[in-house]
Amino acid sequence: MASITLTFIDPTGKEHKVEAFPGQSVMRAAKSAMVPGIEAVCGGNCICGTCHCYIEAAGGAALPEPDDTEAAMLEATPEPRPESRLTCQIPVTENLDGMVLRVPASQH
Amino acid sequence: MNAPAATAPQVDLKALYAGYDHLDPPIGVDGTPWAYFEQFRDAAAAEKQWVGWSEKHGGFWVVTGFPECDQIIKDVDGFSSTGVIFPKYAVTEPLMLAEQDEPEHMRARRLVNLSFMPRNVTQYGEAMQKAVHELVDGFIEDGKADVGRILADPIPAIVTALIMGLPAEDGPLFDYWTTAITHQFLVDPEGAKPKIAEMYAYFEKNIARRKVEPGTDVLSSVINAEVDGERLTHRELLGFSTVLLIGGIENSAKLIGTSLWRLGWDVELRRRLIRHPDRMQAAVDELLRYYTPAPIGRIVRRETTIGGVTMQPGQQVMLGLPIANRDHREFAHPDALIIDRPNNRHLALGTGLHVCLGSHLIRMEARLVLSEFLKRVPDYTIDPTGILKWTTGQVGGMSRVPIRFQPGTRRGTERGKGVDAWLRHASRA
Ligand code: HEM
Repeated sequence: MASITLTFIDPTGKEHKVEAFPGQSVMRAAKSAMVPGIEAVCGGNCICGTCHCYIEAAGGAALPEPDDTEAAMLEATPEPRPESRLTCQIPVTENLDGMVLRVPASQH
Repeated sequence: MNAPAATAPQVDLKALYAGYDHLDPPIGVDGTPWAYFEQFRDAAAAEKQWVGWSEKHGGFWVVTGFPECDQIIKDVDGFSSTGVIFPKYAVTEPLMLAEQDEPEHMRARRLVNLSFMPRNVTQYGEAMQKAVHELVDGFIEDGKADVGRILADPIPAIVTALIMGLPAEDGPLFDYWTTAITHQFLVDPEGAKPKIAEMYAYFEKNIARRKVEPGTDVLSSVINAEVDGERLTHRELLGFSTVLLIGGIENSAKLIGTSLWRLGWDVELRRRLIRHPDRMQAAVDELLRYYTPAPIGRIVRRETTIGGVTMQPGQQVMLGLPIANRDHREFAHPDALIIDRPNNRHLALGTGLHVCLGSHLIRMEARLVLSEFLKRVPDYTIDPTGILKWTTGQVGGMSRVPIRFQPGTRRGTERGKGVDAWLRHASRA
């Protein structure tokens, strides 16, 4: 199986290359690698909005639109943008390889 | 190294912990417990001892440090929420959400969470503004008022009625019931019981009505919410109504009351917020940090060592959020009210899985109340001849805020039933 690498740019601008696996969420991959600024305090239940990232480059994937619950949570984040996503709601698939995500300055 | 220790007078930290009673903190010359909280924080910092044992209420752990509180709140396996309120309130059932542990808590939280997100609560903004102006009309010609009683108290009750799809004129009933649960029960349990039964009966009726006649209110959307084929049961809906009353009203009234008091003497802050209304939202968060209304509790589930002490399963822990939110390890210049504070991660609304369900609602509510009030009464002072009162208990804050100002003119908007009922209630009590 080809490996899947995601790049997170943390709030200080530092890049973190993270290996991810199908079946995980993007949030889990970031948490396993302890990417600074990804808090994910609710553990992937889409109720806290603290795994928010901006998608800078989607790799080979065309991400499905956020569902209603995710969209409502994104509006509640400090600085939502069109490219905002909650990473707990994105399942890792092979075509995410090469995805670049920017961690916002604050999750609160 | 121990920066705060240099100025801290000799205090016996162990005695401070032993005497800590979250229901009854000592009130200082300014009429608030904040000098005591700051002294406590300085003593804890000097000895780097952020956890201690209180002898009050049968004994419990007190946690005064920010990282320690943060760690305990997030450790839901090690610490149970069944001890969130201590000593317990007079409700017969465990409090929905707040006193539930996983996995029951998450099941319920997922069903109600969406209804409290900004897109669902912004619908109440206009009604909140209107209520403020009606209340202000009631005293604007007098040149003086107790804005604790006549603004900070009624607004949260009126807003709770709105989000529950209840008649706004029932707001005073909520005040009566929450007082029975949170204050009267402690001193006169027999007198409080019939009131609590009356409250349950009232909610029963409302839930039944909303099931056949759903509206756009939050309660209706919660009744109809479905996640993975699950819905809330009737009993849960009853518990949910109760927690909105207990969790939503007193805290909010105290936050607004304390903020109105601060703005009454902090002329610089008031002027800044009038000139830059866009800063109000950040100011509300800083006021939440600075005057955190309430501590929260947990019960130890798994033996845990934290801050150098080992807690045993079954022990009660109180997280002193008012003190922890002044911890210099998390907040630079913790005793300065800095409305532009970057990344203000205060714990006033909790964090993690149990983070306040009403957090977006109360942020919007406090912002609108303070902004609209300042539009009508931009210049005022605390009335030195009036009675200022800080209420203690599970929730602390200014409840009587007598002010004086140049009389203004009424806007003459027709007074709604909610405000009308409240003014009758306030003049009786
Ligand atoms: C200034 C106002 C408020 C303050 C300071 C406040 C504070 C808090 C805190 C600290 C918690 C976390 C409890 C814990 O972790 O054990 C909490 C939870 C909660 N709050 Fe608030 N709150 C406020 C307003 C409101 C409002 C307006 C509502 C409802 C309309 C509300 C409903 C709730 C509920 C239902 C929970 C339990 C959530 C859960 O356990 O999942 N609160 N609140």
